[in-house]
Amino acid sequence: MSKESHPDQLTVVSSNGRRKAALALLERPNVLGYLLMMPAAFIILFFVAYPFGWGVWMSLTNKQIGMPWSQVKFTGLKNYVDLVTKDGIFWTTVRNSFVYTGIATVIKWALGIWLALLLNRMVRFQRIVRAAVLLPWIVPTVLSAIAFLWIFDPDFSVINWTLRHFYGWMGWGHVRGPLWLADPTLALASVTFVNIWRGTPFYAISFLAGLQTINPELYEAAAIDGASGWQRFWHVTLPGIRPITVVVLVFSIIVTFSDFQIVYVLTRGGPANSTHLFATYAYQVAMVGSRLGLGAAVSLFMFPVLALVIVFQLVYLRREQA
Amino acid sequence: MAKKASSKREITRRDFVKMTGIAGMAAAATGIEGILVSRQAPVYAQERSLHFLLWKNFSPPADVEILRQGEEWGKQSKVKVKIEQINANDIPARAAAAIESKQGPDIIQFFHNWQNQYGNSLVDVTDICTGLESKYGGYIDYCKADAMLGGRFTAVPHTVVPNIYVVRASYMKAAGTTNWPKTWDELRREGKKWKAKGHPIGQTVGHTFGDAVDFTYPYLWSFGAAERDEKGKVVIASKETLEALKFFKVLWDDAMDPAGAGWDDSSNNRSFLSGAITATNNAPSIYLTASNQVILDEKGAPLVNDILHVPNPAGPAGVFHYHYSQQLAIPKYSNNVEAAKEFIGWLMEKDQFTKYLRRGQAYQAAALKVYMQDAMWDMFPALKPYRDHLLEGQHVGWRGSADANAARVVQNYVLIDMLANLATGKMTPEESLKWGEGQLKSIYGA
Repeated sequence: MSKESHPDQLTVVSSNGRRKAALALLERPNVLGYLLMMPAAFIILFFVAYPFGWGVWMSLTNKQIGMPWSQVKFTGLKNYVDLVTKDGIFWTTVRNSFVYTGIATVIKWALGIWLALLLNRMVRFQRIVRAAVLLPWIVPTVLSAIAFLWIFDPDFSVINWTLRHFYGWMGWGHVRGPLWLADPTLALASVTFVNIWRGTPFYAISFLAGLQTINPELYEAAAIDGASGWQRFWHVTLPGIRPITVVVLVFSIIVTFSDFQIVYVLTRGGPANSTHLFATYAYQVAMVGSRLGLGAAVSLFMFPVLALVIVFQLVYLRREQA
Repeated sequence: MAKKASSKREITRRDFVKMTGIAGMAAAATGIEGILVSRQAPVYAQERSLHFLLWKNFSPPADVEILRQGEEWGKQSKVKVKIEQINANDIPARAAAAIESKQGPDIIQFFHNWQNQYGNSLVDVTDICTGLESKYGGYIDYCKADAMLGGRFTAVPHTVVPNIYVVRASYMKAAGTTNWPKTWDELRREGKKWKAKGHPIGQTVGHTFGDAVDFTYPYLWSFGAAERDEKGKVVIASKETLEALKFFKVLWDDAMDPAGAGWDDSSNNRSFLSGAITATNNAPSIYLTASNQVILDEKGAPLVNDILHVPNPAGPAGVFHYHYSQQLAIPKYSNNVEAAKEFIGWLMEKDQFTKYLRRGQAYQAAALKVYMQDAMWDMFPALKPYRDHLLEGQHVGWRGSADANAARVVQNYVLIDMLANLATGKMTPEESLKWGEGQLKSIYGA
């Protein structure tokens, strides 16, 4: 018998060796960490970073729909300068976006906390009510916006119908009711209302989750110390839900700032551009008006604002962790 | 033995690849002749398909007919025809996405002159159009202008949606108006009475594709205003435009329904049919709905008997109308250009086209002038005024050309917003004129 190894045995040995080496490599946290991170990095790179970079590039060109790339010219900051100096609708859009986001966020926050406190105290029908509260958030935005299109119709609105009948019943004469989507101020208020209606459940359920993490002993201690209801809310509840408040607020500001569907369905940015937000105006300029470069510039104008919000969130969360 | 084996040699994998490769190259080299010699249709010919994107018509029977015709032609030509219908307001974005990504429908229906925004990405269909012109006579001028760019057809002129005033005769009479006003000033004066009676004029100046354009453009033209002159220079900042804006503010406040600032294309239909307004600038859809659904008026009589169709009032520069043209374009990315051309050509043949127009109950007129004499107008006599004023329209961007930027002005609602700024009280006429000039110069690059 020869003592020489059989070729198959050699293969097995070398295969085992490679396997062990690979396993040893995976044991090293920095290697495994990078490997596990790769799918997410891939997604971010191709579905977030690439389109973003492409958008930035496009905003620096005269690109139009259907224009061959051979004809596309680099125009530097011309699109941005044109928006700021020549485009009256753009400044209306900036104002609308801040008003819409600001008012909607504050009201959603206040209603969200109020609703969360109520739900937290509720004992009976708890699950059914919590599920029902989430309904506006669950229903597809376009569907609920179409329902609101009817609710805000000047002639067939259920609100105006009620008002008309109430006036008639009271003997106050004929009233048509507010022109919800025809008056610039009311139209912006109406789309903001729909955003609040849709977004409040998200705040409420998130805050409810936060409330349930607060130790009840803190409330008992505060009560023993003679703290009033308001003081308990201010000194126990609010600090208790602060981390989740920051996350919810940041997320909500970003989503509200870039809202599209509600305005698109209800007003398409009208009347007289009174309800255009960055997303709807960018859509009108780029997709409907075919000026992709200019449209990209409109949508990228909100980037610095949103970046600041994200930086604030990251700094806050790191401080909390520390 | 060896000889026998040789004669019955089995085909090896190598032989098969070699033979099919040669056959494939021969077919590619000989093209249609090779197919004819082989007496067998290529497999791809049986798999041809065609995707046609168009709007959801305001006259539903027209939709039934176009779907039927698609099926009929598909069977005849062994092409799988897919007809997709969407809201007209969503067509531009759908088309833009398709053109830019180079995939999507093989035929797209465009309104106004939308398609000229991407003229270079569309197949030149001049051959179809000149063929149809020589067979059936000429197109209505503005339909032709809207479908052309740089001397070639970017789309085949198909139909026109005509727009004039639709009026409730009884409301007019109840307010003491015996005849339809001939001028805008008369309309303001009489409309004030109608409004006082609770039935104003209903007019959208909102962000919507049809009615807002149909009113705004001819209204401004009738005062002598235009966005550009014949040489392409932006000339909106004129005393004529200012006069038109000043008068519109008075007309709006005195005689019009303030809700119109937030209306879309269907709002005035609903408002008219429910008895809220006396008059509105519209296509025949109001009449057709009242007729087809046998809607009754307050006295229980058929509403159609109380509907009049009358022309736009005159401004200082005369009477103008705007009837929006609809045309069919083939994007260059399509793999079925020939099939698309065949299908459009077939749709435009008299047999098919007459059925389409008649099934649509004269909601749409034809882009070819010859159909103005079609018996369809006798079938729907109440709609004859639409035919009678069909030639009084102009193209988008008039007095300039109907180029890509003229389409962008429509798509960005610039002229409409100049009126909406006044209707909503956001601006004075002077401010709105300055604002509009800025927007136009931004688009035209002047």
